[in-house]
Amino acid sequence: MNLSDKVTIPAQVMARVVGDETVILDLANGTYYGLDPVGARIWQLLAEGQSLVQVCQAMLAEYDVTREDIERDVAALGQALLDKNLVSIGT
Amino acid sequence: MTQIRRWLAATVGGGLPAWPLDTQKISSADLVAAAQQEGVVALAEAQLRQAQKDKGGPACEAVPEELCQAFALAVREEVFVSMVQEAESRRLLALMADADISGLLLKGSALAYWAYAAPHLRACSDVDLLLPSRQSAEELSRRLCAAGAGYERSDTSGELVAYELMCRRQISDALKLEVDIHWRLANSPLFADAFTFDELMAESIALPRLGPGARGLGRVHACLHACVHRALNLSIGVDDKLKWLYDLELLMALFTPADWQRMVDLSITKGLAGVVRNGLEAAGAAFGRQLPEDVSKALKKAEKAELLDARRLSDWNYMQRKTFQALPSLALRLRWLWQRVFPSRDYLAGLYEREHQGYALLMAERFKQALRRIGS
Repeated sequence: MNLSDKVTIPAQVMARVVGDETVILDLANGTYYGLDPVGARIWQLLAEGQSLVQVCQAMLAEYDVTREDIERDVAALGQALLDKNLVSIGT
Repeated sequence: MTQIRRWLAATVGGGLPAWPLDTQKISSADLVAAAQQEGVVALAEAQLRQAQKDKGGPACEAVPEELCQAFALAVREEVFVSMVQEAESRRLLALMADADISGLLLKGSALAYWAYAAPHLRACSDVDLLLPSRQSAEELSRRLCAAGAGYERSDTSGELVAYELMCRRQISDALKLEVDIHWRLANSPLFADAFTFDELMAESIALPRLGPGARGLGRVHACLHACVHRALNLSIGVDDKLKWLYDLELLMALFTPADWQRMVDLSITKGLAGVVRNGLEAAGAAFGRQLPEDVSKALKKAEKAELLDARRLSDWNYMQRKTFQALPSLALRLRWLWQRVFPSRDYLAGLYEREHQGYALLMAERFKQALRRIGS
């Protein structure tokens, strides 16, 4: 996965916010995952249709971190979500 | 009320009660288990989380971190179940739309999507639907159980004992979803004909989160139904769960003066004044709400003329007798009696969770439980 990729969330994946966490459910296989507050914010931005680059921009504005750190974290989370089929790479 | 139940009710109601409880005897696991039994894990968790955010407040400091974490862990399961039910509800409603079958979602299946701040806050063990007729219920059941749809029909105890069909689907090893398809609002001749489908639909509300055709009971009907549902549970020995009482508390909190008047009028017209007052007062006692005086007075006056004594809802013998008397003909009464005494094997196996037991042993268990109730 590259930061230039646009990711989409498949129809069978649902998410629900519980406090600062987000719980994600893959209806296709019935498994669910929890994202911490930072992961939940990244998910929210992806759900709004933002590309990974846009997500990084938004996170830079909201968190006191370096560009390098945020790009690494966003790419890592994106890859983890892709590996679990919770997102797919769209055009 | 036990200490744990009092603590849960106070927590859910928004006022974190004095801590500590008797922590030598009550653990976090005990509290979570009790909350699961009462159907209020997510509600309690939301309050605990809010208390932690209000750092510095007396309530926050008192609550152990371990307890908050135990509830946070438990709520994930609730959220998972809630999301699965939401997805299934949408699928079900889409199937109904394709078949041109109209219906109303009932109880938690509807309340979760408009009365509660988030759907997972209302624990729901199944999806309850009300359809206009038995015929449409049979049609929906047939479509749900068709090849590929994933459901299996399970038996009820008889069409005079329960005006519903049940369909079940195994979602995962641990999770089974049940769809209860009703064609009358209540599963008892005592209340079954209190409202027609058309009058309920006329005052129904949209549930946009579940799709364009999704509808649930209006506020007042939802409150009346919750009181009736509670009465029927009490009549079969199922005690009040905090989630049912909280439904009533939420509905009462949303009532306008016009809603209160409509509720009083309908309660009196439909002969439900006693059942309604009993339910609302039970919810009020659990969550610290007084009924408006004029409402209480009007209901008290009306219930004196009613045939059902709402003070005896938990009296199994009395409620069975009243149900029997509510049936309009001897033929129906005898058929009801037969269905009560000799339900199907599949129904009993599901009821007692003994899928592989024979009919004779299941009936022995049934008679044992009946004798216990008659003797109490």
